[in-house]
Amino acid sequence: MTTAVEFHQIRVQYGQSVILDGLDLTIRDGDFTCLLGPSGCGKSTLLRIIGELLEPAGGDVAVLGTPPEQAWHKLGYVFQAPRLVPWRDAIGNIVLGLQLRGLPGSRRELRTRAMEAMEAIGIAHLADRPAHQLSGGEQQRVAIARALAVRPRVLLMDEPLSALDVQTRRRLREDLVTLWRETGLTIVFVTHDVDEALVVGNRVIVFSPKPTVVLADLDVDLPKPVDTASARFAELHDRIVTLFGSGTDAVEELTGRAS
Amino acid sequence: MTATPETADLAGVRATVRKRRSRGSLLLAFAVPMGLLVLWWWTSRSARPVDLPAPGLVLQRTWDLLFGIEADQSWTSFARIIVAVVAALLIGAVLVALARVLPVTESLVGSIVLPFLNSVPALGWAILGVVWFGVSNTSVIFVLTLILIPFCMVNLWEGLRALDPGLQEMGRSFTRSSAKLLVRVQSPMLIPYALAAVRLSFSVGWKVALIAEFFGAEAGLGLVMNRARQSFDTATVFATVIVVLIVVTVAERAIFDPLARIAARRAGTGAI
Repeated sequence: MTTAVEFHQIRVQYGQSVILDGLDLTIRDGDFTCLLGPSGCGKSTLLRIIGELLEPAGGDVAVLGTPPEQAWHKLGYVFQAPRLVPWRDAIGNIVLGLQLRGLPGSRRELRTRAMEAMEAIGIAHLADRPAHQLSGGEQQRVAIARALAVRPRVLLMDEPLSALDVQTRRRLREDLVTLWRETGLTIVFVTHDVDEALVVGNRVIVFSPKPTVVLADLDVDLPKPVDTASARFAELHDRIVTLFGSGTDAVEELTGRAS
Repeated sequence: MTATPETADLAGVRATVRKRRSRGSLLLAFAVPMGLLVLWWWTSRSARPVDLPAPGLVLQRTWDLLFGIEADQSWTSFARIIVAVVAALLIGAVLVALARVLPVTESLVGSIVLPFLNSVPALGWAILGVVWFGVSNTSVIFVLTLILIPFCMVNLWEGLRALDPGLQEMGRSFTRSSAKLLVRVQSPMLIPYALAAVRLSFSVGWKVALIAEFFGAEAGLGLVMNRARQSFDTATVFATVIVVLIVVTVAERAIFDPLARIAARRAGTGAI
């Protein structure tokens, strides 16, 4: 399997605070890789570096074999908030992504392509709905369709489900896994939820709280859709939680319950 | 909480009080101006027309200036203000964009040009306008534009400061083209601020236009007022003020209010 992203000796610091220091990491092409860790450990920062929205203080990054500044047009980005523009309807937001990316075609052709992305996510019926009339889950689906419409090689997702209710989150997790299996897209998914990482990812990279180091790099061999009641799931879950020790804030954050 | 007879009664009383207050407020808003009008009419009967002209005469002159024999004076002022507002918005936008795109110019634009334009009085520009451009359209539009530029700049500057960083980052994730970001993401976010700038400039423009035309114009409401002053025609002075009041109010209610509602609906409260 080829490499999608390669970090070498990455250093990131905000003021005096060092977030990442000498991080080495490789993300494989075609994987659904979850970057899992507590808040402030630098997992979203890594995503920003891949997307060339942030420059590291030191180290090298290669995205699809090139520096990030030459690869940005091969990426799709989904943020924690949907970040839809309120002056366009749902399909208009997806067309906006295509227009910004500079894809050729008339407005009608772009709308057709946007509609294909909406159909792939199962939200074609929302096309003409004003952005502010969509529910949180619908807005995030539009944001995912907007990123997919530009047909990226790598899809970057920065805690895209964290602001959604439990039901919506569960449905979207399943949809994301289906999407990944059908398209073979490389997905890099940031989360601070152990269950979520194990349900969606086929690889989970676990980061420690600051000063950040990689605590574990797990290949998740659970069959999809993942049975969260299975013994193997519980085993992997416990293995990750144990890495943070017992009774820590990180465990509470990663599992969503007080330990 | 379930409604008991007591709470239902209380709600009913509150609704009645609200209705009465609303009626009272409407009555007051109507009665006070009507009372003043009657007082004006009553006082004018015993006053000299040069001190206080009769409302009927002022109404006649107002009609003349809006739709009658001198309507072209009002619409000349109107046209000059529109040209100046557009020019001020464009120049203000260029200056603010310059400060944004070339940070080296930010101090020059923000600390020198803006305070300078802000502090020179309209009268100063009006005299200079006549000296440089003579008694002409150019002179009036020059004065208006220079006075209105700071209003446009301040509004657009605030708009740029308030640009949603999340939406901008979303835009950057799709493109590295500053032009595309400006046209597709930033400009729509700035529309409410540009609209506020136009709205403010339009009403301020009338105040300034009258001063500029008073000194350096061959037509316009300012000239009408100057002539009225020379011939002690107080009715026309009153009528000029009322024309400005009517035009600004109609523009506010019929154009700017609906546009502001559309802009607010389109812009929402920022990124969703």
